[in-house]
Amino acid sequence: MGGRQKNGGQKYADVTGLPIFLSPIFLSPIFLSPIFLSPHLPVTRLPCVSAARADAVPADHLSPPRRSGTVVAAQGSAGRSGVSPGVLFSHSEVVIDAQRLTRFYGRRVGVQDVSFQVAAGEIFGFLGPNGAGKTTVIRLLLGFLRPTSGQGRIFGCDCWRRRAQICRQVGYLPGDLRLYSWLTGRRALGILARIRGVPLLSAGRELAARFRLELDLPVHKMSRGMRQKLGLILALVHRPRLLLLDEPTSGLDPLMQDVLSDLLRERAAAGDTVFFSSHTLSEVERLCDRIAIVRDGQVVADERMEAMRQRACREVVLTFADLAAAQQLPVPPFLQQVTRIGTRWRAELTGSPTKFLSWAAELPLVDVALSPPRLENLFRRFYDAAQEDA
Amino acid sequence: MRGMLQKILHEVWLPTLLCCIGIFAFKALLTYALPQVMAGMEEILEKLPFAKTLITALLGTEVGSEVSARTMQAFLWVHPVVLALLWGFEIMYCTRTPAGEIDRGTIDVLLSWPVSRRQVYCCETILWVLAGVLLIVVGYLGHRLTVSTMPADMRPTWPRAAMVMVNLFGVYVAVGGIAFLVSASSDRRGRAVAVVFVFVLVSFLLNFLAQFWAPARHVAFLSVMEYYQPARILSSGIFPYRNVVILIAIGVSSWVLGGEVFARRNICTL
Repeated sequence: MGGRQKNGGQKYADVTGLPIFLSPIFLSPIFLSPIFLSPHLPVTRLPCVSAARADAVPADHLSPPRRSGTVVAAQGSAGRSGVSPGVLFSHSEVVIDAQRLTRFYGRRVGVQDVSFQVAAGEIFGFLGPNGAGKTTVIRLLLGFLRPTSGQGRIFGCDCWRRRAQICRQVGYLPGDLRLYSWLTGRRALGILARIRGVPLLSAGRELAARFRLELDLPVHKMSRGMRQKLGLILALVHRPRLLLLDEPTSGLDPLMQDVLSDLLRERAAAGDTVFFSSHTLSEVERLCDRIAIVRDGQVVADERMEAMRQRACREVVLTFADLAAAQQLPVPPFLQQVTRIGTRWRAELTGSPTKFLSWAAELPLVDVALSPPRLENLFRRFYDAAQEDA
Repeated sequence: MRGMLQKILHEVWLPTLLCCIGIFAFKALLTYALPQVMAGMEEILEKLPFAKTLITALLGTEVGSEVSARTMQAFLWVHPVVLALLWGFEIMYCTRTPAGEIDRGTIDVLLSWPVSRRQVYCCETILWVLAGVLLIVVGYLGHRLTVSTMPADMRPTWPRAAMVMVNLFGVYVAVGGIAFLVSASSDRRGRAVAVVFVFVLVSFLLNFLAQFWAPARHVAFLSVMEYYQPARILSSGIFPYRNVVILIAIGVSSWVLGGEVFARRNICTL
């Protein structure tokens, strides 16, 4: 629980001074609105629908959305959240809908015009270097920050206006997790069960067993990895329909990373949605169905993982039978960055290897080595472009 | 609501208990010591002529040519230690959320639970009000413990003591409301604590100085202590409706404003 860094120039959050008191919003009738006097806000139902359907009818008048039924039925998860077995729902149900989300911190851009949609059952990777704006997007989606412009919707609900309702269906793990020092896993589950109005202890025990976490240990005696595990348990325990995880594997050992990956795959297979922010390429590559790359506060790529893989390059090493062939052969258009060292070519191959294999089959080669598609190179291109721009 | 209240209780039960013990013990001791101080008062006033000014300033009212037993009773309610314990507790309590939560970074977890910011604020308020009632009542019980050692003319009657307690609760509400407002507007608990501390200190000093320094009298209405006058209540037995209403109005309006600030502000722990 050490000291934390304060972002330079973030005047938005430090409002001790008078101007905020004098802001016109405090002179409005809402200032004395009855809702303020009522601690019981309507949080038992989510009065919204998927963004795809929300356009037609006002959100307040619609019933809660239902999970992606095809997957649910196939996985036999019926009975949870009121989903009947065998009922087919739209696979394209939009869970997260960010439309031109923009957030300025004073004059500094946090994120600008970020738009993307995440469908039910997807594992969506949100990738970017440090300071790219990943956490800002998550904070906008959770209603911690108000967008300067644009709108974020989760389950069709406005993220800023209906954050408490949205949180009933969301599990969140902050990137920089801080927990109350007096908390133990068991106590946290007790409090959360009361707040959520559902028993959580048995599900919590199961998760604790999978993560190998002792539930009676207080947070102040926990290592960073143990705290991360507790944070994950608290995010997962109520079986949320959407998981917002900000760099969830940080602090976890490789074994626990695998446990988490398995859990997330299980949840996604059951129709839950996972929004996963990271700057670790390998875990995103391993887990995600689709990724968006954010750079300097803007989404610069948003593709399915398969499409990314097709665009990713492979490393190729060709060993020719004779030096003359190696030196004189013209470079085909599908190979890039060719380096010739003696009888050996080292190059990068982008796209499908079919053409390359037919071309190589006619050459006097003694050896061919072809690596799997390396997304890292593709990601690095985005990252490097960011650094060059800077 | 129950879950939030449980969470808040976990955080505040120990400081609340310690403050209760402190106020109880101090009031009991003060009640026990007051008759002895009263007995030596004439001697004190002879040796230290400015002591009368200090007493007048502390009580917030003119004590006349001699310090009466009734006047001495008011000491129980205006003693700096009693006020320091009460305000110290309030500053600790009211700056926890949201300033303390943001400062520690725990608000990320708190707000990811399905509770609105207004619910969080209201839960904090419920326990803050209950804690205030508890502290004031426990203080009175401390006084009752040793009241038998007082001469009969020094013992305050129950209705008058209740009036003073209501007036003190008004001060508690005013200071707490302002503390909630400052906390809701701040990201740093230390800063919020400092602002509220300066506010109560200035209030106390302004009220103190106004008794013998004319320029301070003109601005004394800005001090919450101007509206807290146990000596007058104990001597007259009249309930200070105006003062209590002013104190509650300050507290409630600040509290409402604090709630709106908290509900509408951006929260970032980075």
